[in-house]
Amino acid sequence: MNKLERLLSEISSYTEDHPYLRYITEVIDTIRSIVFEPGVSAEESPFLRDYIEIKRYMFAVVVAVAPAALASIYFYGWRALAMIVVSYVAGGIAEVGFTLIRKEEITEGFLVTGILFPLILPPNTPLWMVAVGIIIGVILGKEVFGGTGYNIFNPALVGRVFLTITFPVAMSSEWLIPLTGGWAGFNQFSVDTVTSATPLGVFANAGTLAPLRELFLGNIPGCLGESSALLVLAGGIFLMLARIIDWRVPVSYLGSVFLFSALGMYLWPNQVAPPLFQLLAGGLMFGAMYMATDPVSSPTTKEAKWVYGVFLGVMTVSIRAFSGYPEGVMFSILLMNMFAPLFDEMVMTLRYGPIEKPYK
Amino acid sequence: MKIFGLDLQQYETENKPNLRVRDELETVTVPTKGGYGSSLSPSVEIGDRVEAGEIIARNDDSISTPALASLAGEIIEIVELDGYHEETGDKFDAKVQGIKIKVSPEQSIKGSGIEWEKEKPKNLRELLYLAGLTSFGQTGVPTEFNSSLFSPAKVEHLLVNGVRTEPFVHHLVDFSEEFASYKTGLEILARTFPKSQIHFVMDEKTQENLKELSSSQRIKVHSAKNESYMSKSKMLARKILGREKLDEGGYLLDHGLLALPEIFPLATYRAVVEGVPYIRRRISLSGPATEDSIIETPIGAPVKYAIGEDVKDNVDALTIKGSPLSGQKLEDSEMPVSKDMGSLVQLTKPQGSQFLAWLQPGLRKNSYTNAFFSALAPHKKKVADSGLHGEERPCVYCGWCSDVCPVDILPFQILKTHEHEMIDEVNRLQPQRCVDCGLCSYVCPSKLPLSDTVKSAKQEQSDESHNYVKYEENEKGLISVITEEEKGRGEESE
Repeated sequence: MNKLERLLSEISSYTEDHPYLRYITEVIDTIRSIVFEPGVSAEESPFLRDYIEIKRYMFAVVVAVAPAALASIYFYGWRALAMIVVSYVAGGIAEVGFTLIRKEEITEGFLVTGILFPLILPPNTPLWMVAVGIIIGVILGKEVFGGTGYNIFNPALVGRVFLTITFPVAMSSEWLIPLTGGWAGFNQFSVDTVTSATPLGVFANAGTLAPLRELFLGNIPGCLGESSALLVLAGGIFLMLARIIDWRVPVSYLGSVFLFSALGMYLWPNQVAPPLFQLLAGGLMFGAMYMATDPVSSPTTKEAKWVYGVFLGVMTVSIRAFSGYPEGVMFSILLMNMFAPLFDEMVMTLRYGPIEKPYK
Repeated sequence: MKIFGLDLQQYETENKPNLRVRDELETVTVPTKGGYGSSLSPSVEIGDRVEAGEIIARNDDSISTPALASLAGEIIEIVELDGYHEETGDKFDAKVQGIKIKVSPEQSIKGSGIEWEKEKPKNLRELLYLAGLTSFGQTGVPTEFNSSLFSPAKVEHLLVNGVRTEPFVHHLVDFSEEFASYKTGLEILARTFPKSQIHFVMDEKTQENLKELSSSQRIKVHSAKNESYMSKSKMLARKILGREKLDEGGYLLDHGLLALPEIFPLATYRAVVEGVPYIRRRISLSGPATEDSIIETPIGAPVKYAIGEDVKDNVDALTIKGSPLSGQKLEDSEMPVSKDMGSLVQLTKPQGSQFLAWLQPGLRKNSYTNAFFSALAPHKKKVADSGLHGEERPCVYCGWCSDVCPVDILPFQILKTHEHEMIDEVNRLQPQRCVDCGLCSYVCPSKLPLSDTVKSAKQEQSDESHNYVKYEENEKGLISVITEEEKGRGEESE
């Protein structure tokens, strides 16, 4: 392993002085730091540090979402994997290209966006569309704000909303019926059986409900990763137990969807679907576990997380019931992302009082 | 053991360190400042002979505590101790002189104890001053001399901090053997500050072994839970005084609390009952790169000598003054042992780069998160080194720093606002609450300098916040202005 490390550092010291190749030095250094964690000492107190770092932090999300990703291959064939690969490659190029031009450090945040984005797309999204979406998401959703840690919106959702508005037909009119039984999708590349609507769409148009058991296990049409509420829930619980995400956001989000749909069903029985159906159908579970909990674009104080979750729930139920879109998770998370700093500010004002400006 | 929460008690360390006395020295270099106070000019000259415990630097006009010869011998040199930094963060000049003494072979300590039960509190305080003990605490121990910014009348609560909950920091007092003297020391302190309430705080673990010490009217015994931040006097002060008071900022004595280290009652006992001034220091030495021990050595011995050859062979180690969570790097091991050097920790430096460290299971890696397999084996001893374990990255707002913070501040917000010099916003976030526990930087996955930033935000703010005490600077140094009325108050109770 020493040889590989030495080789990488030699390449990087060679490219550093090269007139054209110097631009890729950053890429090589990044590869080296990903493969070999530099054994540096803490320079300032505390000298004892936690072993957690951003790479592992991000990787934990990838581990948590892996079962849902594997299930997407099971349900929709190897094409699902192709979508993930395209997302990683196209998004990776966009990320690296942008950071090289801006002469900034390449960060690990993309590790998560790259896998979450394809999982919130319909299974028959053309591969080029996946590429366009992730590039838009990475650049307009994250890099223009300053990169990982500075983005206001969840980059994966920015890419998704761009595709939804630009290619409405591909994004919402055709869905695939998932394969089940035996090896299912592991035996084939893609699925051809087309249906016109997801359970939420069916409810919006016809008012009929899909069986809860199917919704829970995953035998229903929908986006790649959201088919099986069970696997998404399992990944979310893993992340909460590992403390990578805060339990307050999913609990308050799902809780408020439950409460407000129960209330709404009583007030507007024809428009609002029953609570359990709401929880298991569509992208709610996926959004609550992986999208709303994105630490950068969600609030950071505990109290604000509760408020954020409750507002998310109200928004989601309202959009599902009263708007032209059958699904409201994406829009409500993006909208509430905007309010996250405001919620934090309100909590800080309550906790510490308003900012005093003595020289005003 | 904790499944949810930060457990810093699980590092590999020996539980019972051995006491090692190190006093075969040829020379000692006694610093003219140790703990709180200005640095002094020597009152002896080269060639003078001094006895152990004799005052070799004293200035009653500036805020200071006399420096004492730690061993008998001949003064051979007066040196500038460059880079001799103190952890107190006080306002005094960092330039410190060292008085080098060639140690003579025959050693004896003159002086005898007094009957403290009959002594006036004022005389006891004078004795502490002359024994070199009054530079302890955040702003020195108040006496009728200029040992502190405050007057003795200001001491309403006296807190002895016997909490050792930070990793790799041992108790300096062996409570099983020295308990009687220690208890007497506490009683002497109760008499020395007759109007104050004495609080003795221990960690839960020690309290179990110390059942016979119970609260009396003058001496209240408290126990603190086993969290690393509980070893901070300011944290204990928040419990005793209430948090609202301390959130205002200022020194502890602004609020009437004098916090003293664990060793103080024992040193008081030695000085008062046995007549031995404070010329020897006990240091806890611990860490994976060394053998755990309690070292007893004369003040002024080089740190290197005090530690001895105990750094394990072929280990690249980092030596830290204080605890690994809030201490400072020991830059020069030739520096003399100072009066207030309580613990040294030697951590091994990381051994080169690690292949795919972020993918390893980490069965013995400690973490606030449960993202390592160590979460499944909470009883397994954890490894410790001085590694950063990652690289600095932008903040991702995970919020862990504020989750672990024992005083409810938002370190990442302070970092963000401080870096843009938004002073009003920084001050609004109340950095003065910080107790310097270092946990925010410990847990940060982006390896950001959180605790350092909060510390400097606090420092910048503190200049405005403690206007309770008047002090002024003149040619003699920093002088506190204590009114005659205040001086008188300490005597009322006799």
